[in-house]
Amino acid sequence: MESFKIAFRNLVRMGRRTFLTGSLIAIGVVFVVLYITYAQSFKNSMIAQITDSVMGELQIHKKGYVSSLDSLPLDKNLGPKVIKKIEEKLNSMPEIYSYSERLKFGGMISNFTDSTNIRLNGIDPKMEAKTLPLLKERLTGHLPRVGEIAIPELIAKGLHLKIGDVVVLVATNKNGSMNAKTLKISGIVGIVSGPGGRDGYINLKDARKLLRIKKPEINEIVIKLKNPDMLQKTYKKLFKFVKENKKPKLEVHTWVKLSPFSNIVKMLNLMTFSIEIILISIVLVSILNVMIMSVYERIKQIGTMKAMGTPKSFIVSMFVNEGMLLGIFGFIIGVVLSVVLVFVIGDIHYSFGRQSNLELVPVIDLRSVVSVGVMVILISMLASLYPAVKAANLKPIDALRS
Amino acid sequence: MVVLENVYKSYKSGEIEVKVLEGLNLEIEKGEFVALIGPSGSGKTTILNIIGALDRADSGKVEVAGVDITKKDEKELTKFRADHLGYVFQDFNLIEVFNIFENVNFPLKVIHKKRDDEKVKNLLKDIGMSDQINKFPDQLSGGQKQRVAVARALVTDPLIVLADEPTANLDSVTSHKVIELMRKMQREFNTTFIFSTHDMHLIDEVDRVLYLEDGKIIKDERK
Repeated sequence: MESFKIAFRNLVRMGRRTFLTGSLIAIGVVFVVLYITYAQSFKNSMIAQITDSVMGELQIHKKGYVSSLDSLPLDKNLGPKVIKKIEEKLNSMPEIYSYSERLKFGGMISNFTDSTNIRLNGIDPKMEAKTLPLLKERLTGHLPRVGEIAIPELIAKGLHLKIGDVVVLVATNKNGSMNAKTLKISGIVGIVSGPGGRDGYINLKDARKLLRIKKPEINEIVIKLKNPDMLQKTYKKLFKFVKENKKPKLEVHTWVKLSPFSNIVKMLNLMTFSIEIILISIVLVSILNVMIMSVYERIKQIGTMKAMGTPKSFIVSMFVNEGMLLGIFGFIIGVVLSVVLVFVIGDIHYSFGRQSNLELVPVIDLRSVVSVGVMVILISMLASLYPAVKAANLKPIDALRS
Repeated sequence: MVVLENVYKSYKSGEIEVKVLEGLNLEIEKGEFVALIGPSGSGKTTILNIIGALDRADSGKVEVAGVDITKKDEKELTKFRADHLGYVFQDFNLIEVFNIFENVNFPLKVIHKKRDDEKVKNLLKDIGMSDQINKFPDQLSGGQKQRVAVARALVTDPLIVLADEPTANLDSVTSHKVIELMRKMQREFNTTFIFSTHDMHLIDEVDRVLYLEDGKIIKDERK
């Protein structure tokens, strides 16, 4: 208690120095908190876009499907028996919110004068809407009922198509036989970066008719979790399930494996770590500097205390507490400034790839702020330790002579 | 109370070895009020530092309060100082961020882990500072600071109080008052006081004067 009292009063006594050092730490904290806040918001917004409007959090396929995804193979479809088995499993897992079954394939779309390639998802609109709740935000119009198609924005622009227009869809089935179907445009889907972000949608029944698939086959099951934090735990459960299924062999992937954005997330995490290292350096150098100065200024006081028989531990705690209080002071100022700055800067509008006018809504993550606080306080104490031990090891005679 | 036998001490000043004490012999009884007088470099501070377990003799016997302190390690010396000795410094060396009460209470509370506010208050009353216990050192005069330093030295009931030039930074009137206070305390608590000074005007107030020159006692005057 006494060492705290001395530490606190010394900081108050050296008010200007405390303020300057605290401000330096505060600037570092502001830098890190702002970066984490906006980077986290960007990350969360992009992840939500990907998982809640394109690919869900987990996907199940027949083994080998993902590695040949570029060619959208139709020979790796899942039959009714295995679909039933998977459905039973998914229905039994309380962590799963919903799932959507898809039949993905490639084809040609024509407006009767021009034509272009298109990647399509045959879907059940209800299951898809529930599993991908943000899909409706990307969609102008509605998801396709039987006889309808939702086309990607790029194709709509390229072929000068609008909702209500009629198009012809041509596709080749797994035996090489071609088929065509006339469909009415029910919606136009906005683009999202990453795989599946430029796909169109048709009704699952139309997809099977077009591909002349008689049995209720699909080639992809997209899964949404109740809580995205359960991703790894659920993945492990499903991995065990698909491993046990021998005929046909299955595979399960998380969105992290399927989307290249996970690499951007890794980069962001690395940058966050680098910025934290900069903060650590700022705190370490400024506290170390101040505490060394503090020891030299109070060398006679240390000598007097040591002469009186003050234990080393008290002298160490006196300086470590001073460093810690300085760190806490800088951290609190930093957090207050960060909150004010986040309020002033507010939402940021940005473009990502072909997506424009995306909105970044910053939310200060309490866990990140607490971890920055713990880091600042620990580093402050660590930085004070060297001068504190040096002070405690001074010989009283040398300290008094200085 | 204090026995120094054939004590030698020298310091290195660059390449030159400066001999400070050369075979010093000294005996001080319990409750004595002793002044060490001599010019600068005569060895006053060195003797006080050696008796005060702050510095070690190169050779010879140093017995303080019945303990041969030459054989003690640093940790033992720290405890010895805390248990048996009190110090008064030329520059007062009060803790600037503590008020008068906290300064006097410091050795008791921090070093001896005792809480005895009454004792601290009585001591401050004895030195005539009871009405200023909430003041901080920078609000006091030199004489007042030194009185607080004397109270701080006495709060743990030490056997010996060592004071190195306690009046060097004070005017003559205040110096006399501080020495009078030390004398009063010595009588009240029967504590041994050893202090150094080069002020000849103060020797009338002591039991014994040790005149030093070149690290030797040239005259031992008892009154």
